[in-house]
Amino acid sequence: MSTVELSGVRLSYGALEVLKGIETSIPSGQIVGLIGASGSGKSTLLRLVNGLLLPSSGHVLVDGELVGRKAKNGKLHPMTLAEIRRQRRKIGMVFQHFELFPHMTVEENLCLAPILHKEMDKSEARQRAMRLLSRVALSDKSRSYPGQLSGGQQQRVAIARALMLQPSIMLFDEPTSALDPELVGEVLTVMRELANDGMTMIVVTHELSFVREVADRVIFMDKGVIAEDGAPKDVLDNPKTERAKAFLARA
Amino acid sequence: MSATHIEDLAIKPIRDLPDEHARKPWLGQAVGWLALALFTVWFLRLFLANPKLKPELIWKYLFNERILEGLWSTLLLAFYSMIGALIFGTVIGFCRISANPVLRATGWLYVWVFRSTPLVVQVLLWGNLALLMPVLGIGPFTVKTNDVMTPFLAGVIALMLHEASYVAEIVRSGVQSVPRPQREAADALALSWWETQRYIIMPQALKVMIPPLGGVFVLLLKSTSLVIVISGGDLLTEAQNIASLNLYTIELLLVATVWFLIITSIAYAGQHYLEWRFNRQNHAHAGGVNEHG
Repeated sequence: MSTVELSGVRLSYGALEVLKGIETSIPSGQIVGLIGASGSGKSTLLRLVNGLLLPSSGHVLVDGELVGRKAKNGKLHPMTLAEIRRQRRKIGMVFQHFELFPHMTVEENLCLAPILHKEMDKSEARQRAMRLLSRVALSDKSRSYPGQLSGGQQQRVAIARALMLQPSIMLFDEPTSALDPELVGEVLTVMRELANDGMTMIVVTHELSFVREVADRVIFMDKGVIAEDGAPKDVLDNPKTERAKAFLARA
Repeated sequence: MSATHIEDLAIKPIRDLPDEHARKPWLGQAVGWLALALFTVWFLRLFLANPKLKPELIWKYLFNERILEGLWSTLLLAFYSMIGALIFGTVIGFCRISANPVLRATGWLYVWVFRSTPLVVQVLLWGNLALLMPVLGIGPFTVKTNDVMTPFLAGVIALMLHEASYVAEIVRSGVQSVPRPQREAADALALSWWETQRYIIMPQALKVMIPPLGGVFVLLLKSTSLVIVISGGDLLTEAQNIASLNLYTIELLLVATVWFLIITSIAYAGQHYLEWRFNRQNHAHAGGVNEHG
C-alpha cells in the first residue's frame, strides 16, 4: 500500500523558488484536496510525486523509495528508464486539459502504454480498456477520437487511461477547471467512485464543495509552503491564517 | 395605431421582398479572361513566330536519348539527395531541440553554415574536392578522390547536405508545434523518449511538416540544375552539351524547361495527394474540439 513522504523539499527555476521547504506525508487510501491560489506551487508539488519534476533539494519518497533518484556511494543519481517505469506505473495522473492523444482512438489511448510496457498483450489490454470504459460510462465511445467527445467525456477517458496500469495513487491536476459547468458533475462522480474504492488520491482543485464532501484532508498552499493542513471542515470553515481566510472568502 | 395596422406593417414588406438572386456581373469577368488569353497568345507568338527559333526542334529533342538520360539523372539526383536530406535533416532537427547544449550548438552551427552559403558554391566545393584531398581513406585503404567523387556523387552530397538544413528546420518547427503537455502526458505514462517521438509527437508533427517538405522537394528538383557547374550529367547539362554542338541554345533550354514543368507538376500533384490523405486520415479529430484552443 502506498504512502507519499516529502521532507525538506525545495524546488527552484533559476532564481525563482517555487517550493520553499515542504514537509508532509500522506498515508495510503487518503484523499487529499490540494488548494491555493495559482502560483502557490500546488501543481509543482503534484508533479514531484510521480517524478515529472525532481526537487532541487530534499527528498520525495513513495512507499519508502526515492522518486526518480537512487542513493549510491553517498550521492543521489538519476534512475534508469526501467526503474522510472516500474515506479511510475503505480502512479496515475490526470491533467487539466485531458492530454488525450488526438490522433488515436479512445481505445488506442488506453492500450498504448500497457502494450508498450509489455504489461499485457493486446487482447488483455483491450478487455481491460472495455471494463474501465464501462466504469466511466463510455463503453460506446471506444472507437471515437478525442475530438469527437465533449470535455467531460474526454476527461473521463483520461481517468480510464490513467487507471490502465492499475496504479495505487492517482494525481489530479485541476481535473475540472477546463470544463463547462454542466460537465463538471460527471467527472466528479467518477472521482467520487474511485475515492470510495480506497484509491490514494491527491487532487489539485478549485471545487471546494467536492473537497468538503470527498476529501479526508485539505492542504492549503501559499507562496511555496504549506500554510494550512487538516480536516476539510477545519481548514475550509475555520482557517487560521489570513491568507487562507482571504482565499476562501474569494472562492 | 390600431392592431391591424401594425400587422400590416410587419408582414407586408416581407411579402414584397424578391426571391430571385441577381446574376453575377459577367461582362467584367469575360473581358478579363479574354485579355489573359490574348496576352498568352501574344507571348507565345513572341517565341514561336520568331524566325530565329525552330519550334520543331523542341519537339524533336524532347525525347532525344541524351536528354532522357539527363532527365533520369536529374530524377535520381533529386531522389537520392531527398532521402539523404530527410534522414540527416531529421537528426539535425532533433539536435536543434535537444536538452544537450553540445548537440544544440552542433545543430545550430550546421543549419547556419549550410543555409547561409549559396548552393552553387557548395556544389562547386564538393565537385572540386580532389584539389583539396587528392586521395581519400585511412591507412592502407585509400582511393583516388576523382575515382569515387564523380560529378553525380558530388552533386548528391552537395544537394543532400544543403537541403538537410531546410529539412532540419521543418522537423524542428513540426516537433515544436505539438503542445508541450502532450509530452508530459507521455512521461506520466512512462513512455521512453523514442516511444514518445514515435507514437505521440511524430504522428502529430507530420501533418504540419508535409506541406513544407513537399516545397523542399520541388525546390530540390529545380536545384539539381545547379550541378551543371560541375558537369553533373543532369538534364540541363545534357541540354547544354547538345546546344554547344548544334548551337540551338534557346531550343534546348526550352526542352529543359518543358521537362522541368512536367516533373515539378507531378511533384506538386503528389504533395496535394499526401496532404489530402493526411487530412482524411485525421479527419475524425481535425474538425473537432481542440482542447488547446
